[in-house]
Amino acid sequence: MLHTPINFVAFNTNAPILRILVRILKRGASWECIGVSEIEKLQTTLQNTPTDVLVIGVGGKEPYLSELEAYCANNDIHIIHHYGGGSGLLFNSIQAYLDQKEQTR
Amino acid sequence: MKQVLHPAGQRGAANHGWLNSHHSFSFANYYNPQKMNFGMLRVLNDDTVAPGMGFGKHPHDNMEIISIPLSGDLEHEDSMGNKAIIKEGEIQAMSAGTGIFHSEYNASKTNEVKFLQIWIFPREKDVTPRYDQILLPDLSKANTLHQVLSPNPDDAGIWVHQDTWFNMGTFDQGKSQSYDVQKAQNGVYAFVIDGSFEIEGQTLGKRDAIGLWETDKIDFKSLEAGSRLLLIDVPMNFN
Repeated sequence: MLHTPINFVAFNTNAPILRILVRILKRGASWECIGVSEIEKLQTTLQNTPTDVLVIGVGGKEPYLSELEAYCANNDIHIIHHYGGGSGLLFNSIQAYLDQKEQTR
Repeated sequence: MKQVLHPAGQRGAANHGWLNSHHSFSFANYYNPQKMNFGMLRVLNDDTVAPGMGFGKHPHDNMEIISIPLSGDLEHEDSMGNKAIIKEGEIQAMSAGTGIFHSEYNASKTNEVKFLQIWIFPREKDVTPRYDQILLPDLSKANTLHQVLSPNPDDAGIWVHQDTWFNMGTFDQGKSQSYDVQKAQNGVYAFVIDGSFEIEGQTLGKRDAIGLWETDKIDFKSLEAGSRLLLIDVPMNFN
């Protein structure tokens, strides 16, 4: 998993937690991650950054969320709704994403 | 009624020396796509922490986190200024909501602490974080299920932001009882803490579990003296 190239964008309005998430999401040898803390800027970031996975944590509010989901669906970006804050569930979610990607290949 | 059996020996296991953990569901380095959750129940970790050791400061958000010490004492500290010791016979709940940092250490320098850590997906995201701990009713009173957690602040036990109810009890050999599921569309995850039970036709030993859904009642029977059971009644769907 850690050797599969993945471009992440992580969104969380809790700045200390976002910093930790970005650090975790750079752990893979070929993982890149950009952190965004303002949902209004998220779609612009996605438009300007090659993204495989959007990790959404605290602050994922409407109507932005629905717009983002539509944008991601149209641009082959997988969304992980991340609960729990840290790494306990995150690697599970990434593994599930990779499994799904493998099955659809 | 539908059911899924989770034998104790088929749980994920991680022994880090200071921490010996068994995961009922996928967690950290343990990944089993067949064991991601039981409805809103996402994590049930059966942890043993060495004396003086523990989990350093780390974050959580958007999760209802419940700790139940089975033996020994846990020392809790969090970013809301709470500092407390949680003992056997107590229960702790954190609504992580918009974010909380906390640490949990074995308060003893000589004895292990054993506890269950349970994560429930919240009913609503981004709530104000909160921390609570309470003394449980006398669970040694045999042959009675005690409600130790609910969604209602005014009800028995501690409360969380989800339509979930936890019941615990210790039973004499041969005692039978029924449990009424609290809400339509909820299921029940029955976890044997000690001893053995027959639950809906299945024999379960220590740390075995069975998930049951599409039913409004669960029947169980204790197969040996001092058998302890935890029933986790949770919504089966995200709504």
